[in-house]
Amino acid sequence: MDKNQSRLPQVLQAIADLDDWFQTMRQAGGYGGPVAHWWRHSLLYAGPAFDWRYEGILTGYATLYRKTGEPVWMHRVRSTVSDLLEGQFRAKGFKASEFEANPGTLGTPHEAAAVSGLLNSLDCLDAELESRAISLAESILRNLVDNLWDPRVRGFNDRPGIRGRVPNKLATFAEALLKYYEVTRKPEYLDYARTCLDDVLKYQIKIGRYAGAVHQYGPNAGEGDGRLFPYYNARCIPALLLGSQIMGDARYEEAASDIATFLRLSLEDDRWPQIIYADSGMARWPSWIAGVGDILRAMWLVGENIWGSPALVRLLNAQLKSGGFPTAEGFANRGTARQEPSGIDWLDVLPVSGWNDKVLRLFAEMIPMQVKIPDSDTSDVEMKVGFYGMPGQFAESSTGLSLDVRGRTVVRWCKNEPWVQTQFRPPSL
Amino acid sequence: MKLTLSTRPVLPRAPDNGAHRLAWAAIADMVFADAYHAGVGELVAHLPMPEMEDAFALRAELTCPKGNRSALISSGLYDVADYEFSRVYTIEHGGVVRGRIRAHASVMQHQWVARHQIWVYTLRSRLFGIPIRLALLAGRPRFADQMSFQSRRAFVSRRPALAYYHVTVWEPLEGVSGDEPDAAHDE
Repeated sequence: MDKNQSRLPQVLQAIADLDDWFQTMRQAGGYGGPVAHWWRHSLLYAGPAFDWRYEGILTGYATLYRKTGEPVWMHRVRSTVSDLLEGQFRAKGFKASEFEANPGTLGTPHEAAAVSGLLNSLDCLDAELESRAISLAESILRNLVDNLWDPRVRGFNDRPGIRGRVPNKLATFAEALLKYYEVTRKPEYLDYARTCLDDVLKYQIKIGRYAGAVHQYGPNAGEGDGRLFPYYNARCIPALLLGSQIMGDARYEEAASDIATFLRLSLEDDRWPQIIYADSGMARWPSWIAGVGDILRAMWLVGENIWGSPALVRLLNAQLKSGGFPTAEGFANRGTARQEPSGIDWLDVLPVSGWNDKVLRLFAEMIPMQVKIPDSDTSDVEMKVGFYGMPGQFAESSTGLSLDVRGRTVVRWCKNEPWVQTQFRPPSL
Repeated sequence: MKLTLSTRPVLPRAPDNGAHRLAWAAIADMVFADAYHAGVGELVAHLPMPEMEDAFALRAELTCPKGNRSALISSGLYDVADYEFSRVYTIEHGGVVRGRIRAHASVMQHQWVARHQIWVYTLRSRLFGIPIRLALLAGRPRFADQMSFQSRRAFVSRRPALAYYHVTVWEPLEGVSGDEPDAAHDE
């Protein structure tokens, strides 16, 4: 065993405990839970949502099945695929696919990400389920193409009728299109994927201090906006590598390698800042914890030995007793560049399905073949947290979570319910 | 949740931009979260603009009710027949509204009491759009992000504010429970 793989037992136990937590987040119809994010939060709706959580959950469970052969993971895949099959709204997009803006439809990159999860798990399905999964994938992808294609500039917008490019979302879309092409060999999907990836290259910085980094947004499909998110840069890498592999275009692999260089340079000890601004400064907080799964996976895909990464150690050590991983550090200082966060905010510790899926996928892909996943060892969580500057008590069990502040319960969610009870102003923004 | 939808437009043409769509989503979230926990199984909605319908229809489909009470969404209390409904959600809209005076008149007339109120898409939130645009024009994305946070924090208020929408949750006076959740924590 590689000396760095001495962490393997911890990763295996983390998988068992994370699976335990995910099953507590599963309610009738799919995986639920509130969402904390950089842009905004979805803290009222907590029912099943068909966003990028299904990318990591499906890929993670399918990978575990392939590596262990244990039927439990195949059952997880099949029930999760069944969620998606029932998840369309009016035979178009998914019902709740906007993650931090749930419930909403036509979420980008979420619907494409869920399709990738679906296509990654086909070999775990029986013939009938596989056929339905492929039909659903085509239906969702067609709906995205129909709504987002910008014929005048030949590319994909982020919102229907609003010209603009979001490279990391285009990468996720390309990944789903490429996977669909691999299944069906329909050439138009390859063409769309190429268009997406070429737009990613267009927004990559070629020279200077941040060479390799990709801008977050191109308003009007024009210049990049100067916001460089390490996390979203990492999200570009898998698609670029897949595009290079399928289309034989070395530019994509080179671009992925250059992004990895930016990720190495932007790592601060064991964590990445939220944003580096190309003009000056950064927004260090919140610094993702569970979401780091995607960054580490990107580094893994470009060939880096992440077993020895301090970011992996930080991730493993952050796992909660419930088995879930906290979302971040530093929500109380969102957008600031201060050196250390001022305390643990309740949004920091809130475990979110659509962040934890990144950890499940990463760990499932890291472990070797023929391993045994141990029994889970989870328990309830109680933590002191901050809530808008006031001290509070966060608690999570297998049936719910709550936040008490000054003797009052201000947030209560029963995990089988679609709506959170809150006693403060609608906190979705 | 069963939803019966109709529209009673209060404006000749609905505003159509991202901020208003965000407001409709915030209003629908507030209504459905409250209705679900109040045991509402059926919502009768007279919405002030047809463009809001999708947001309500989607949430109805996603909400499996845990009770069988009925509730009304309306632009005022004037069309509530006594205690036909166990809960009423009024959505006032029409330019920038303040809301409190009309709400008070309704209470006196119908013996309903306001349980929660929110003001959505406040003028303060909108005004932050000016520095955001200036920052983007000047190529200062960091400042634009900071102003965007301020705008979002001000988007919904539980205190009276100049806003495009004012939403009130009403209960019949006799049905009001002792625990008053409106003594809330604002940011």
